[in-house]
This record gives sequence, structure tokens and C-alpha cells, in this order.
Amino acid sequence: MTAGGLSVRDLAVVYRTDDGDVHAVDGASFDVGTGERLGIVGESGSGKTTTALALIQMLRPPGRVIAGTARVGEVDLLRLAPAAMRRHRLQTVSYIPQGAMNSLNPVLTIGRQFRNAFADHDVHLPESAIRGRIGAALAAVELDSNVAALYPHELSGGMKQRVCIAIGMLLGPALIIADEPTSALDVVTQRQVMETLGRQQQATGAALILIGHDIGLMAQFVDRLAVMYAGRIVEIGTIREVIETPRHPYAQALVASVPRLARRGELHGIAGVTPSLRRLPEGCAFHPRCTRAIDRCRRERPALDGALGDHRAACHLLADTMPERAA
Amino acid sequence: MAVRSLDAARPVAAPASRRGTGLRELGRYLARNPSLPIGLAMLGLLLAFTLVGQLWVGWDQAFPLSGPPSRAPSQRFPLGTDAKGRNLLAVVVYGTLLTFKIGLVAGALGVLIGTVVAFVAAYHGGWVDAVLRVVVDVLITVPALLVLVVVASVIQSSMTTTMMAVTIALLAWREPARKIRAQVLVMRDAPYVLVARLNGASATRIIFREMIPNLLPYLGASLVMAVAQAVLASIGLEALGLGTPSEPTLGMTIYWLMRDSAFMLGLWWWILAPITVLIILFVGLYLVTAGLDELANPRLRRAAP
Amino acid sequence: MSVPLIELDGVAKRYGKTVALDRLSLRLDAGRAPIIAVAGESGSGKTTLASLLLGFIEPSEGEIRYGGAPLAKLGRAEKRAYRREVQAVFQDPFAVYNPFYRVDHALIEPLKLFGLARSTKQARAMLEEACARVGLHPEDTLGRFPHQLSGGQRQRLMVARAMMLKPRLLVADEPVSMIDASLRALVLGSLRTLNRELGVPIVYITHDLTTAYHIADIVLILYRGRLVEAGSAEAVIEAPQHPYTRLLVGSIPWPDLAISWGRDEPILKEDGRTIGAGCAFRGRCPQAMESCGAALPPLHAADRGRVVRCFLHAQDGAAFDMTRLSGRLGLAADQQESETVQ
Repeated sequence: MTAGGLSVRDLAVVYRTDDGDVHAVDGASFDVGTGERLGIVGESGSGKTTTALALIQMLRPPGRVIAGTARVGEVDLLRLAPAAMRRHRLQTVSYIPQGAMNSLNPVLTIGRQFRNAFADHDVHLPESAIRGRIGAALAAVELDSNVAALYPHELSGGMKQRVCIAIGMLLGPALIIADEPTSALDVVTQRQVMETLGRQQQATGAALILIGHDIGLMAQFVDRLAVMYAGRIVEIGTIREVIETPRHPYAQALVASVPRLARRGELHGIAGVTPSLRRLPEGCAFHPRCTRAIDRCRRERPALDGALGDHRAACHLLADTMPERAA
Repeated sequence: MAVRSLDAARPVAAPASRRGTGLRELGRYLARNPSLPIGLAMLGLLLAFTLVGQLWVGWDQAFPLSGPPSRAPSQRFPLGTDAKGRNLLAVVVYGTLLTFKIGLVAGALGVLIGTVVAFVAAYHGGWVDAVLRVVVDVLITVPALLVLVVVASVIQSSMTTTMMAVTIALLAWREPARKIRAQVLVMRDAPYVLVARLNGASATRIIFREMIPNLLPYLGASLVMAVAQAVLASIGLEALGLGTPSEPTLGMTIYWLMRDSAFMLGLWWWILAPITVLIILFVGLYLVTAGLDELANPRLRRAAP
Repeated sequence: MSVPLIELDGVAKRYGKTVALDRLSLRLDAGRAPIIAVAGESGSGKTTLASLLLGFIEPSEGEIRYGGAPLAKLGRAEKRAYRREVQAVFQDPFAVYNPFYRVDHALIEPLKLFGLARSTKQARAMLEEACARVGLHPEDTLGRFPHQLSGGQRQRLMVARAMMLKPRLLVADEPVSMIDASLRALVLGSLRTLNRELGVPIVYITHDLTTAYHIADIVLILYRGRLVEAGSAEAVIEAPQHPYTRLLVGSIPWPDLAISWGRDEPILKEDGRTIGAGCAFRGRCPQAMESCGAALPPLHAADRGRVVRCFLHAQDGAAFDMTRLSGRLGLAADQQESETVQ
């Protein structure tokens, strides 16, 4: 594990409801190296946004992190006191949310929102230096410096999202979490925003987590991909491994369900419905929808075995056919 | 080629019985938002008081010469009598009833008129909306009490509770009209309304079957607020002497006790009885409106512990 | 003699000075059931087109005709028929259901209002059959409230609703853009079933060419209210000709590591030159020429049966008359040459 980057082990998030505990994230472990891009893909309700929010301690009650560590360098994000976490947000970890329309304060100019970010993190510089940094931040996301004088409603969706990226990168964080940053945008703007994000990430060497449901976008952008289902990571590996040779049946179905250029007209859905997190099936969460489920799948939950850097999948079928790995 | 789309998997279990979880959820909600149940309890108490009280004392006891004047509370007159010999227990029991009546009639009428105006304006749009909007905006700036004082002083001694209710309703519809219009404007473009249009639904059907059911909580809250304001307005008018001289409402009682120098004569029981009821009434109404506000506006909802 | 089902004749829509949709002429004959994709980014006019087809707004210019008669002048019975025969599936799978009722409400209402079911039992049977057709289990779907179903299920139920009404035209306005990518296949499959098994033509509005590629026969590309390219789905997406289409297609994130997006199509920074006469795309076009600013390029016929609005393709001959577009695309029988040139 390199000095920078993020290292998450056994993250577990629970929502305590009167109907019982809902395990929104159940034992997630993954690494993201410096300059590396990890994608987390899954349907709505699979736990991907909860994972992101847990890392920056922004889960709303009754959600709580009940286990796990999330280390960036020496710091464990999950163990920080609220005041320390506030300092680390934006400086060490930044979060770029979905729906930028709602993230920018509508009554403040863009420039003022940048200044607030500086002020909140005790960055006190002379006025010319601040203006310079704001201009540089905007230029880095391909926006004109006069955008600083505008209000959010005067910008298009793509521009607003790029402003959010600029704010997110203002203090040079070591980790960037982008949660479906382009879902409200059209294809061309989406590409523009992602290219901007990628360029900025490469320039600063930050680690990046991209959360989404679009495997096509993941294919074009990330280095490694984790597939989440019902709060658990069911497969993780390099993007090439997961897209070209997926091992978990859900990942396979997911990859097959996305339309491609080559096979026109073929549409493959995934049979069944995502289980409610309140009533997860026994054993493997996917077994009711899996075409190859065996008896063991109904009783025993498969683990995501293997060394951390490998292409891993949580499926009994693999354990049965693959030779035992050295511990 | 066919899509392999049949949901061959085991169907997801149906949700638990709606009634069971409903009651439990209600209980939990009321625990988190005490304003509403406490307020309702207070109003309920007053209502019970006025209904049960009618079995105890007759209507005629609320009028002068039902007993010896200015007597402190005794066994025969549990709340005493006032300077004109009215049995204060009866006054309070029937006064509360009358005040409720004015409030409900004025409030309901106001919300009804306001809703009709709101729908006509918002649904039709165009010049109709523009005209109505200007009318309401201008009327809202008119101070209600001033108008009511003018109207009441014209009617004066022939005022009845019904007339008072209608008078108040004449101005009570303004605010509901504005608020409900805003809601309707939003709903008019809602996708489910578009689908209703595609269903071939007429405007009337859309308004009554699609929009109004979603407005019910809002209408309920508007009604309660209108009732509260109507009660306040009526008591204000009555205390000023512009009320119903022939009917012993709570406000008229206040007027009479001030006019007949209850304070100076030390007739504390005459002051205590109606004031107590008024306090409970207003606090109850306030708590209910605050509670309804929280219900209707989820952003105000306190997070669960 | 072919009977037109629906026809837009020089239809334009303006809001004040903004042109939402600029003079479009298109005709679909009865009996033909293509899936026509209308693609473009926000502001392209595709939503305006949907609203015009559904009769929710009126054109500022031109005329819309249904069954040969102008929409604005339909009698009561014809209007009713139009209402029933032209249906839609909307973008937001949650907002299309009235939260006060169970999802059945959205399906039973039209049966009642159009008199399509003679009894509750028959209505129920129709609902169940429609559910099965789109791959939903009636017992898991009917009787539920909207928030109890997933986005994909809700959308499929909307398609089921359309199926029950047996429309003659379906307008699908971005039906899958608010649904997770992995769940889209099922919804698109149900649309295709509607099209193939019931012979219903679909106008599929989208900003995502991936899905258009898979289910559409014809693709129309709109940019800032104007038609810039039109042709078969394979032609337009496999080998786009208009610079904007190329940008659009080049930005598609295919889940294929061999194809990297944007390799060939840079995104240029927009400059202010898009106002005034001339091609609206010239501010972002890597191949813009002087003539692009002088006048609006007319449509030109191009290879593989398509048309392109671009001076780069002017060498193929005279301007192409928009009234002949529908014939060329196979949407209607070929029309006589008319004097008006687009």
C-alpha cells in the first residue's frame, strides 16, 4: 500500500430502524492508490452512495458506521472527531455530488463560494492571490474567469458541475469522491465534465473514486472497478478484468445488460428485482435471481476471497472450481 | 429477439399489513412531534367540556337574571355569577360553543372561497389568473380588523353569530387563495396530471380526482389556521363591543366584564372563567397549527433519534 | 392511396424571441410502424416536439394534422379519438403516478374514461395481460403504491398502460434516462414489444444515442431547434456525417475498452458566434467555413439514404426539400415535388 491513497477495510454501515437493522454497507474493503481511479458501480440502493457518505462522515441518522477503517495516510477518516473531520473535508477528502444544481448556494456568486471555501479552511491570502487562485481553478475546468461574478442560476448544468469540481479540487485533496457527477447531463457535456475531472486528477495525483450506475462511463474512465449489490462488494478488479471477464453472475449480467456498438438490437435484462435491504435473502444476496445458484448459495454467504490486488468475486461457484489460493 | 425479462425469481414478499405498521408509525410520529397531539387534546378537552356542560346547565342560564348578581363561586353556581346575574358556568359552556361555531363557519367558508378562487386562477391561467392575482394582492394589504370594524359597526345591534362568521369569511379567503394557488400551479404541470390528460380526463375530473386528494393535508392545515384567525378576529371584534349583544360568546363576556368594571369590583371569578378558556383555546389552536406545519412541511421534521 | 396518421407541416414553435423548434415537416402514414428516435441535447427542441405531438402546446407557425384533419379544428369525437390513439411514456418514473393512489389508478382511469372495459373483472384481466406482456408479475406490481416499485418496474407499467390502450402512436419522452443503466434493457425491450407485436409506431425522444441505436429504425438529430441530420439508425450512428452528430456519437461512453471516447472529436470551447443567421453549430464546429455564418445551410441528400444540413455536404447536388424527407426516410409514401424549397 503506497503512502498516499485510500485504504478501506471492513466498512459496515447500519440503519437502525424499528423493523430491525438494515445493513446498507456490509464489510466493504478496497484500496485506491495515489493517482488511481476506482469505480464503484451498482443499482440504486446497492450501498454505493452510503459508502461515499460514510467516508466523509456525512451519513444522516439513523445511519451509522458500526465497523471498519478508512485510512488516508496516517489518518483514519472514520475515527476523526467532528471538528477534525470538518478540517479534512475539502482539504484531504472532497466530495462532488450528483445534481450540482442543488449544491451551490443560489444567493451567492461563484466567486464568493470559492472564497467561503478558503475562509472555512483558514486559508488567508492577500486579495490578489485569492483572485489568482480562483481564476486558476476556473481555468482548470475550462471556465472563463468572469464566471466568478455570476450566480449559479446563470450557468448551465454542465458549467455548474464543473464549478463543483473546481471547488472540490481547490485545496488539493488527496482523495476525491465523485458521486454520479454527470447523471443529469447530456452525453457531450458529460464527456467534457469527466475529461476535466480526469485531467485535474492527473495533474494533482489525487486518488479518485467514481460512483455510478453506468458501466459504459466506468469503462471510459476508471482503472479499477468494484461492483456492489445489496450493500456488498461482489466483484472487484481492473476495469479490463471486470468488463471483459466478469466472474460474478451479477457482474456478468450487468455487463451484458449494457447496449454495445457491436451487437445492435440485443437487449439483455436481469431477471428479478433487487431485494429490499430489510429483507435480504439467506446466504448469497443474489441467489434468487442467479441462473446458476447451487444449494450452498442458499445457505452460506460467499466471501470476497483473495489477495487485495487481485480480480476477486464473491461467489461459491468460483471457490468450487478454482484451486485454493495460498493464504 | 425476445427479451429475457420474465421475473422468474421468487416474488418479493408483500409489505407487512398496512394497518399494523400504520398505527405504530403514527405512535412514533406523535412522540416525535408532541405539538400536534397536545394541541388536539386541548381543543378536544374544550369541545368535551362544552358538550358535556350542556347536560349540566341550560341555555337560558347563560342570560341575565338566571341568578343573584355578582356572587362568588358556590355550590349552586360553581363558577359564580356576573354583574347581571348570568350563571358563569353556562356562559362559559355556551360561549365556547358559539365561539367554536363562528370560528368553524368563518374558517370553512374562507377556505372554500379561497380554494375556488385559487383553482379558477391557477388552472385557467392567462388573463383570469392575472386579474384574480391582482385582486387578491390588493385585498391582502387591507387590514382585516379595520374592515371588520367598519362592517360590524354598520350592522351593530342586529349582529348574530352567523353574520359575524360571514363577515369574517369575507376577508378570511385571501390568504388561502394565495397559498393554494401556488400549490395548484405546481401540480398543474406534474407528470401525473399530464398522464390524466392523456387518459382523456376532463378538467373537473383532474381537479377533483387528481389534485384535491394531494391537497387534503394542505387544505386541512389551511382550515385550522383560518379557524384560529377567525376566532381571534371574532373575539377582537366582540371585545371592542362590536359583537353579538344577544348571544353570550366568549368575546362578549370579555366586553361585558370590562364594561361593568369587574376588575375594580374585585369580581375575580368573572374574569378567571372566560380567560382560562381563552388561554386553553389559543394555546391549543397554536399547537395544532405548529404541529400541522411540521407535518405538511417535511423539511421542518425533526430527525428521528 | 396512403393515409397519413400524423403530419407536421412547416411546424415551428417560438417563445418570444427564442426558437424552440424551427420549421419541421414530417409525415407518418398509417400502417407503418417505425421507431423514430429524435435525439439532441437539452435545448434542441425535442421536448417541444413531444409536447406538440401530444397536443399540449400549439405551434406558432405551420399546422399539425391528425388523420388528415388539422389538430386545432378537430370535432369532439375526433378529438377524443386522437386523445386515445396518441399516448405517451414520460421521463420521470415516479412523478407519473399520483402518489395518493396505487399504481393501478393510472391504468384503470383510461379504461374507464375511454370505455375500454365492460366490467371490473374485464379491466383486471386487461391489466394482468398487459403486465405479463412487459414481463411484470401482476401480484408483485398491481395494488402497490408507486414508492414500493423500482424505477424500471414503474416505467414498464407505463408501457403496459400504453399497450392496453392500443394507441396508433406512442411518444416516449426520454423513458429510460432516469433509470439505472442496468435496468434500461427491460424497459426498452417492452417498448420494442409494443412496437413489434402491436404494430405501434414510436417517437423515441432521447439524448442518449446508445439506446437509440438499439431500438430505433430512423434517427433524427436536432440541434438548437433545427434538424441537422436524419437517416437510418445504422447510417447516422455508425457513420455520422454532420459535425454535431459526430460530436454526439463520439461522446458516447461505450462499455468497450477498445473504443475510447472523444479520440476523434475534440470538444471546442463555444464562442459567441452562434447568434444571427447561419448554422447554429458553427461556434463549436471544427470544420466551420466562412459560408456557415452567411446563411442557414439547407438540407442536402447524402449517402445511405440520409439528409444532412451542412455545407460540407453540398456537393451532392441541390438542396433537399424537407417535404420529401418523410418519403426518403420511409415514413410515408413519396410525395410529389413541391415548389417550396427549405
